[in-house]
Amino acid sequence: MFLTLIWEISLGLAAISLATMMILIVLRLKSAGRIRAESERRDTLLDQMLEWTETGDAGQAAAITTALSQDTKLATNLLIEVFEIVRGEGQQRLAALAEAAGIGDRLRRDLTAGPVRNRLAAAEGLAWFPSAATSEALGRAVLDRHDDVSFTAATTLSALDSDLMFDEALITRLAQVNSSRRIELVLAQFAQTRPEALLQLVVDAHRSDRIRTASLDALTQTGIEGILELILSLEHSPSTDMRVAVARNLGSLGHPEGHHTIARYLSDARWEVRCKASEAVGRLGLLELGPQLCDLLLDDNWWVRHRAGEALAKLGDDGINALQEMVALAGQTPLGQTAEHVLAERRRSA
Amino acid sequence: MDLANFDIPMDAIVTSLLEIVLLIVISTGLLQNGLYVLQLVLAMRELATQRPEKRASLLWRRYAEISPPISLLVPAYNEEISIVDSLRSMLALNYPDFEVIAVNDGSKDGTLQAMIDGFGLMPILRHYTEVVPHEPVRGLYGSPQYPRLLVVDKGNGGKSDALNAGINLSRFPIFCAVDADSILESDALLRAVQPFIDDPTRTVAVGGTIRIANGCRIERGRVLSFGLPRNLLALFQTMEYLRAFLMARLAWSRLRTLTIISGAFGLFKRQTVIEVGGYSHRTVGEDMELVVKIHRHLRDRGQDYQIVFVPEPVCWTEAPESWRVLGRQRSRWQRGALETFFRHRDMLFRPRYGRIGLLGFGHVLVVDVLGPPIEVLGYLLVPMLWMLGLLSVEYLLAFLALTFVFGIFVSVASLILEEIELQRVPRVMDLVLLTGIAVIENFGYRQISNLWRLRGMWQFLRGVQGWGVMSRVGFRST
Repeated sequence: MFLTLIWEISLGLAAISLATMMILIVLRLKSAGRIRAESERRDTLLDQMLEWTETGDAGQAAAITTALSQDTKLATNLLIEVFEIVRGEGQQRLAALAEAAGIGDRLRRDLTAGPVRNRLAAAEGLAWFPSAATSEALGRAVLDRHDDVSFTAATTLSALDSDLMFDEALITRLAQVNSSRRIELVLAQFAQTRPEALLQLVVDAHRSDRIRTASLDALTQTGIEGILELILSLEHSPSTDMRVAVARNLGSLGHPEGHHTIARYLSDARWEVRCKASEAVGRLGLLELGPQLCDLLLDDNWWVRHRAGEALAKLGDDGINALQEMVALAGQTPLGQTAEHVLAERRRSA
Repeated sequence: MDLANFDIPMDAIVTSLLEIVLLIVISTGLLQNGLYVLQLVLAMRELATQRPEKRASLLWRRYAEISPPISLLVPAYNEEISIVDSLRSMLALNYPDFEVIAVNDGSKDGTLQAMIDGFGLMPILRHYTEVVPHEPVRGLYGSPQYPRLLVVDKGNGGKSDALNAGINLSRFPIFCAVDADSILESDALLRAVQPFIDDPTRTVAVGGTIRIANGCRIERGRVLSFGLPRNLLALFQTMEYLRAFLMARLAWSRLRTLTIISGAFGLFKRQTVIEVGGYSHRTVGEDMELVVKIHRHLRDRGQDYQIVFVPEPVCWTEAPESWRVLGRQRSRWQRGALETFFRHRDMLFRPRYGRIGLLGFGHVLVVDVLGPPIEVLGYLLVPMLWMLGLLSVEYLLAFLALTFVFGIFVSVASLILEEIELQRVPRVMDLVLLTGIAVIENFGYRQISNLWRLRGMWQFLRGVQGWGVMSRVGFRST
């Protein structure tokens, strides 16, 4: 009985799979003509749109609007491509036509339901359709169950200069994601519009290091008042990631009051911090820290030695001379080779 | 069981033994097919929830700004004819920040000279440290015209050795191992890197799909249009790859039990690979060995991590078109799987290794270790016993169902997945042809494939080392 069942089930599954495949083949055959026609319509519409951005002909505009409204799915996909090519005023005019044809409505609808892929594309696409309705739809999409959609909606909303509640729910969500690099984009947008909210995030020790350091990076880019004090307040953090972020942001900010922290970080217990501090020295051209960089050429960690060498090479003639001296004195020792290779790489990239 | 009535105890013993063997054959077949059904269901769910974005233009806008830099490592041994085209195609990849490190692994032909001539290379110095072992580097080459390209010339040490040299010389946090004779689609990196963007802390490795390029239109290292191979053997492999990648790897990826990322195309966090000592020498399955080493290391450390397969980034490779070469390749793959399995056998079913020990290694045990010999035993035993009248027709049908008929279901179902979710096969006639192949591969090819695997087992037991000759026709521009 059991053995017969194995045979019958196998045979049944094989038959069902073959029948399904046959149906798919027939469907594909049927759709071939439709896909060809769609491709032709798409090409014609693309030509018309590109031509219209040049001429601005009213009759053509009406024809495009009609064509766009007849197949909003095709139009949406096409517009996403067109907006990659057409920029500025032409893009705005086309977007106005598309809004009149109902594409904005379609995107706002897509944003609320359907596959993640479509919701995500809609959240991105709505950047070209600024309106109160768009802001409202995006505001709702910030609460989307899928993080990508939520963060994209938040970024678009922020880019449209719309008011967005950077509320506890969104912060919690950002903090939960913890790791995604997408949060950098969201935080960069918020740093422009709601720096005080990010400031709260950075100082909140209960948040993850990831979100705190990403917020700090975003805030430093804005150069808001008090940023130096904020960075320096974190310099003794027990977290390696946080000290790395402090070194990175001091290197980016370049304020003289941060130099002593960078100097101290050159002898930090963690190699990641020494590495980032070396980079900061090179970036800011802190000549007085040259001798410490020379010491780091003998560091246990290869990355620290390498970044210290690179930083020395960025210190101008004094740094280059120091490296050349090391080549001459240390010869084929690891120290001499580090100096020689750094100089060779610098010559090649110059 | 319809066995004749035997009076003497010896016959009863033989009967019992045969019955046990038959039960083992049927049970293993059931277990194997059960695993395939599980894979199909999981792959279907994964594709339905994570449907890949088809519009390549959107990917750049979405990911370019936050994509981490990647070092492409390209080990090359005797690739004189194709290496320049391959590297040109890699240098033209659609990705914001990457470097290409081609490692000439002591080729006996003019591979190095072809690269020097093709890119106007000059000897250069580069600061690096040897964190993983490999044969000595003889020279480094670069060119101001191709600042992304670094060519490493080193003594011959095999693919693992060449990749280790590439790891030492790479500077970026993620490296991508690519075979020199493979072709990456222009947006492959942008697609493959997504898990590193979504979860950069936990993601340590990502694998992509390998597809057969035989029959495709290829020009200067780029696949211009899809086509099916004309060679029957390559067609069988097209189906096999579809099943292996779209079904098996996707399913195990969903369960976080992936034990292999193809050596032809895989992304790894550099630091993690360094922590496990880089690629292992003295194995022909260095790709599987690396992934298993990573699992072991991170599980031992109690670290939360993920190794992921993403179906849409595609790497095209040339399939062998001769029985002899394919047979050698399959025996080698089998040997590689067994080497890794027995080297890490203590991971099997051990609670410390969680689902990797249970499902990942359990799958290798059933499909790679026990599967081939038991199935071949069935081929020999079942028809013979049935013809001798010692076996009922029910047993025969069950065996046929498990080895032939169920195989048709699994292959066709993989094709259905491909057609519903990806639609990478553009012509209807090609779909029809592949459906036919999905059926006939179960009658002959599957059995020969099992014999190759048995040979691989035999080689493993005898301690055979090395890759053997892997001759290829080479991608021809059409």
